[in-house]
Amino acid sequence: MNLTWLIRLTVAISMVLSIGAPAFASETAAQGPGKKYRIAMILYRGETDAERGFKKYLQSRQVNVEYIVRDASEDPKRFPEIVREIKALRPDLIYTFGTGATLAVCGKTDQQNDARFISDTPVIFNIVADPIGSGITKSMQSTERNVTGVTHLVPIDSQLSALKATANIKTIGVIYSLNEKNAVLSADSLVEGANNAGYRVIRYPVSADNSAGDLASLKSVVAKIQAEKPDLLYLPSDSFLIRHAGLISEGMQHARIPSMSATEAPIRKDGFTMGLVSPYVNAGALAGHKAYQILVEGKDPSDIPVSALDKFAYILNMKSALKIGFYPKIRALTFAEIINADTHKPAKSGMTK
Amino acid sequence: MRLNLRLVLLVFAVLLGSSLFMSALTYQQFAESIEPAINKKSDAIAKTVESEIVRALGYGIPLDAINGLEEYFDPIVDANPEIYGIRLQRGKSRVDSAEFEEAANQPEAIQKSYPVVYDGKTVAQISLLVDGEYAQKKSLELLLDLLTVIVVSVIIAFELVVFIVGFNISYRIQQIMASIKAFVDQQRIRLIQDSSKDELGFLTRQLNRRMHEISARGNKPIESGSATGLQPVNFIRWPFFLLVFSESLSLSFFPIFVGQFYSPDWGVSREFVVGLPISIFMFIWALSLPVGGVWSDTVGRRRAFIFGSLLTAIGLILTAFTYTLIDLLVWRSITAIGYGIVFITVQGFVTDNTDQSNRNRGMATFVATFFAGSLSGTAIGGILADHISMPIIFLLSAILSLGSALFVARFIAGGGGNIRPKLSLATIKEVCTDRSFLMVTLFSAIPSKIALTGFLYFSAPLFISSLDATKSTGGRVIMLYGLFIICLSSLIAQYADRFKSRLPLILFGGTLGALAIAIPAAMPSLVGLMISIALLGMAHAIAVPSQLTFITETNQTLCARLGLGQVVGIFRLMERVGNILGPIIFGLFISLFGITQAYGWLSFLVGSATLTLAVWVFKSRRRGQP
Repeated sequence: MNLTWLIRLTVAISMVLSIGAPAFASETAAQGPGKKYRIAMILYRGETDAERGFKKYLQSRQVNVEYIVRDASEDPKRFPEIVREIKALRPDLIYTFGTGATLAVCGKTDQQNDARFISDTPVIFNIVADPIGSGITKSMQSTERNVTGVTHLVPIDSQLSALKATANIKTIGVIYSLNEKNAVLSADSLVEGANNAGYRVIRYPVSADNSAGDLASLKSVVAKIQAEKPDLLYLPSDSFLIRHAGLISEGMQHARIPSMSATEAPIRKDGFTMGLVSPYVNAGALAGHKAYQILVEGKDPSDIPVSALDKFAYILNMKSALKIGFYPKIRALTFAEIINADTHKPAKSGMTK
Repeated sequence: MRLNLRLVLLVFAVLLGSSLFMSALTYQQFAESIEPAINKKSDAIAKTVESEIVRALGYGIPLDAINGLEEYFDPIVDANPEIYGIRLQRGKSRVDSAEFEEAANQPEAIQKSYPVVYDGKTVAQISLLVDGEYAQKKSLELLLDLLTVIVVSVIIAFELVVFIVGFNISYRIQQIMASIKAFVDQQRIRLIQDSSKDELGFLTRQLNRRMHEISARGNKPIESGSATGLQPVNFIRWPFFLLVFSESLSLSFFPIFVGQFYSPDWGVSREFVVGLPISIFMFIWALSLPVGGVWSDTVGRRRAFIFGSLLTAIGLILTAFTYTLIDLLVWRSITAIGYGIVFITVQGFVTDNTDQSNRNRGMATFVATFFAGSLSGTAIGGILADHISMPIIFLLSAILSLGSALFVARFIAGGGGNIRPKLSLATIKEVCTDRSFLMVTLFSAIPSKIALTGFLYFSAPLFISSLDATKSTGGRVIMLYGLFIICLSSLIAQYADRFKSRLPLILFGGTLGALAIAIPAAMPSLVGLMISIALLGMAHAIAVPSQLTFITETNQTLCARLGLGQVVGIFRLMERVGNILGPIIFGLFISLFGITQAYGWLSFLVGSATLTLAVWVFKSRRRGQP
């Protein structure tokens, strides 16, 4: 009992802290609205909670910022042009969302002197699942260049522990896009972790480059999953599939297959059943803190480690679960953040003795 | 002495009466409050379980579909010793915590039912299986703790009173008497050294003034030096008791303490690792005795004791801050050196301050004090370990060791000891080639020590903790050994003199010892272990003193030629090999056969040693030798 309360408490506290902590740090805020900084934001699929968390953090520390926002609208081909424009604008700092945008701005570690990339402006990346695997840095301690950032990856073993605490299942299906490097890496690490934990894993790769034909390919993969019926479907951090999470979720609901997501939005917005995630808003706040260190405190990005959140949120979409007759174990209910619960019957205890 | 005895008895009566009264009050209060407290706790547990179920229902999960109840119940049962099981009855189906049915068949198990109320209706039933005798068990535990504390406080009070009365009254009266006796018998004038301002001091001053007058009148010289010259053996009892007490505080849980630093990555068995610090301690202790003895002879008992107890304290403080097995071994070695120095110094003190007429009594006092300190420390350490963490107990031990150093600094007079002859290799060789010496040492003395360290110090705490008993139970059970040694030793000493030869006693003790160790193998329970330890104490009380007597009696020519001290010294040295081997051998047995069978094998080892000795005795009898 104490343990589960502790978990709930730490999850709650971590959320409060990472969002609310800046409010307590008033000593530097006393500087007041001083210099106006220009931050360029390079996004992939519009503004998310991550950017909102980032902005909110800097606002809470009373940093005066002018944002220049450029959105690739889920088309990676647009990145080179955006980068050229930003390079000319010479902002004080560049914020990138996702692995694709980050690589488009600063390249891999061995492409530093390439003129296509920006190296004289500090870059802060956010929502990058695997900074080392994708070649953005060689170590989490320092990128050894003008770059630092935040990974939102939750260690796979923690995700599997959360799954084990929720349900007894045997087979996990994993769906991922073949052309998204971080999704492939995440799927690989899931397969390895799940095999070690005694699960059987089935891979469901989708070949996708965002054309209309790919949606058909996705639909056929979903149909295949519906037919093969694994005990659970796992969705890694995968931009293309996150965009179509509603379609996947609907397919799973139809076949009564519970689903687990490595990121937050598919659970909150698209009806995925559960997931142990780094809330985007917290990741954004952490990235905002790094921006503050660079802009206001004058730190060098290579001196700021790349970091992950150390507290995660376990989200359970009760409405989705009930719809498919998936009933999480009672202990999971005590530490999960339960969303979409039908609360017209208030839980009230009437024990007399 | 009569005054001593009366005072001691009076103090006993007062102390025993008051502590019994206080304990009775405490016990009564506890017994009255525990039952409702236990009820409240089980109600609270049921309430929590109910609210979690109600919450799941509130989310819309059907009652029959609430999953993972076993996984939810089991940790609750594990964490609460008075809860045997939890059951949820929902309609016709039910979910139980692990082994609910087995637990329900326990005679003391009581089932308590609580309704699960949702939306104003009782939808299910929670049953808690509660240990109906838990309150009695807890009360009994408290009663035993209280009794242990009373026994130990009586022992401590005894040691203190012996010292205080000795130091303040009887020693001074003896000095006055010695002075008067010297004058009356031999017409010699010796002044009494006493500058206290109390009544005895007044009497002393009056007497001394009279002596001066007589000296002046009769023209007799005043002799220098005090009348007796010797310090009473009782003076060293209290600090020695305190030091043994402090070192023994950890005895009942030491192997469990060591277990924390074990890692399976090392590729050696846990038992070996847990036994290692005990073996190393015994080894370093054994080494420090001869070296420490020589050193103590040269620097004097006072300085040697203070140094030894300070070293013990330092070792204990460092032990409290142990991080790895390696530093634990180093800290324990420091403690062992200090402990060894004190041990041999106290023996030296007894030899220095006794003569042929009372040396045996002095040594008996030494042994009795050792066991009194050891059993008190073990028992109190066990009780403490249930309430405070083990490192804190080591710190407490260190404070007590410092106390004993301070005490000696304050009350024991300095001065060098007598230089004893060093052991030479040739002498050791000569003694060890003696057939009877070798047989008794190898087949009785060493096996006894193997049983002491391997069985009692090493295996007993582990076995007790494997039975889920509290550490205070462990302390009490191990204490039985010392209790039997103290109670039986003097009795057996009187009786043993009636035997022409000590061999039957040695053989009987050996057999009894082997039997004692076999008991936990046949009866692997707390009661079995208690009987076993008590019997081992009895066996050792019978056999161990007889070993040395037998050796000195059968080798009178050797003893006369080399000196009794030499032979005894070599015997003690040899015997300690058993101390070192004990944990190693038993650890090996556990890793090979498991703990229960290991007792069988150790019993076999001790038994066959005794049998070998018996066969040798029988054969040499036929040949007309001893």
